[in-house]
Amino acid sequence: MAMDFLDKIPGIIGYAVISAEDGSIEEVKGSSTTPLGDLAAFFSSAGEVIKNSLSLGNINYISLCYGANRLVIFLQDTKYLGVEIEREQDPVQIIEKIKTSTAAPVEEAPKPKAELPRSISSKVQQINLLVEEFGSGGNSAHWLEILNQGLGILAGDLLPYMGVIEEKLGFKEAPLAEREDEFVQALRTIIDFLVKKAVEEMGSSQARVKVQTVIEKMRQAS
Amino acid sequence: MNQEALNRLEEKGIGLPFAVSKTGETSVSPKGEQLKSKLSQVGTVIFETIGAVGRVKIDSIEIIGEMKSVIMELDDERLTGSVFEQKQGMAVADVWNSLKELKVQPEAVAKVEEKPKTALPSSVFDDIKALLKDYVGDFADRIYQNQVKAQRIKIDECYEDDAKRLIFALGKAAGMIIGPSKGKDLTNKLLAKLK
Repeated sequence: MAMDFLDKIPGIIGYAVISAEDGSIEEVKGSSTTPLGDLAAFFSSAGEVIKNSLSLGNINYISLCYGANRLVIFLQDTKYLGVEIEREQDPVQIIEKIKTSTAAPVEEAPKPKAELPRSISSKVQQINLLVEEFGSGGNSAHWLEILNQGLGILAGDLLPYMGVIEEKLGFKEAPLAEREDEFVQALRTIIDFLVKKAVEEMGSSQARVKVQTVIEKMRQAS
Repeated sequence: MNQEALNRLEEKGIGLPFAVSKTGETSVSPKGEQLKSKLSQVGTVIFETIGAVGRVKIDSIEIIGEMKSVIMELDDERLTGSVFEQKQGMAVADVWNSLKELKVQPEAVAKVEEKPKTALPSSVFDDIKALLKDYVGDFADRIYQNQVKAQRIKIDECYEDDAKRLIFALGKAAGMIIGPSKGKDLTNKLLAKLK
């Protein structure tokens, strides 16, 4: 079962999918800088040992707290899901949210249609155009990975609100008005990060041409 | 672990409190005596798993089962925890609160043996920020602030272990901008600031 619907759920920073049968890491997604795959794989297995040792019965969930975040691990069909959220969030609520999303028919699944102020939406558009332009010629997966890295180290506690959804940067829910400037600043830094990476990878003149193309596309769109 | 504190906690009826040190020394309350060897194994499994995962400082674990649950609070040397059945009207938070009481119980013997920790001067963090800026330029402020928040560092009450954790996180984040080898170089130079 594809787990892409997790990309759209507000509050999820990243997640890992682990085979419950052999403990192998099947997928890791999101912008977390924590090794979610390893954590989920090792602790789902440790949880099984502890469950048997202390006769806990079936495990509802395992929750690990580290720094400002929390990893919630639970069994979903034949997979363990390890979902990273902010430490203050309630594990039970996020599991319910995920189970509700899984149960909902595809056409009713929530769409990431957050209403964004123009200052933010234009930056999001610019980032998506940069990733598209830098990744043209079959390199898009690589540039989405770079975008995720940039989000992971530069977006900080804004991460639960935004992420890569259907191969584009998007918002899972609208940011609070009082945090608008914070979001704009973060997005600006991510743009600088992408451009720096492009200069490193393709040289300054080619990167400049691509940035110019993006500026032109934005001008035409406005 | 102070045996009296464990006993007092058990009397409150919120689960079976226990403590396991990294060396395997296990303390339990009287009702937990039967589970002692199993709790010791649990401690071993947790410490080994954390060791296998590497540099992620996990400070608390909840394993919530259908019949019983176990919560554990960890530091570098030991874990303290409680095994409990979740009765109606009882929240996991109640068990966490009871464990906090365990932490504040006096441990006379340990206190005599332990050397008092000294918080690092704030100048260390100024040096860290300055060196980070040398490596990643304008990205430095944002990376620094994000990692301080992510690692839950209190600058005015930060000890060497916390600072090391921050430095490794900064080195890793910087490595995504400047490449892993320069990131490692930065980490080493930052670690040298602690000496």
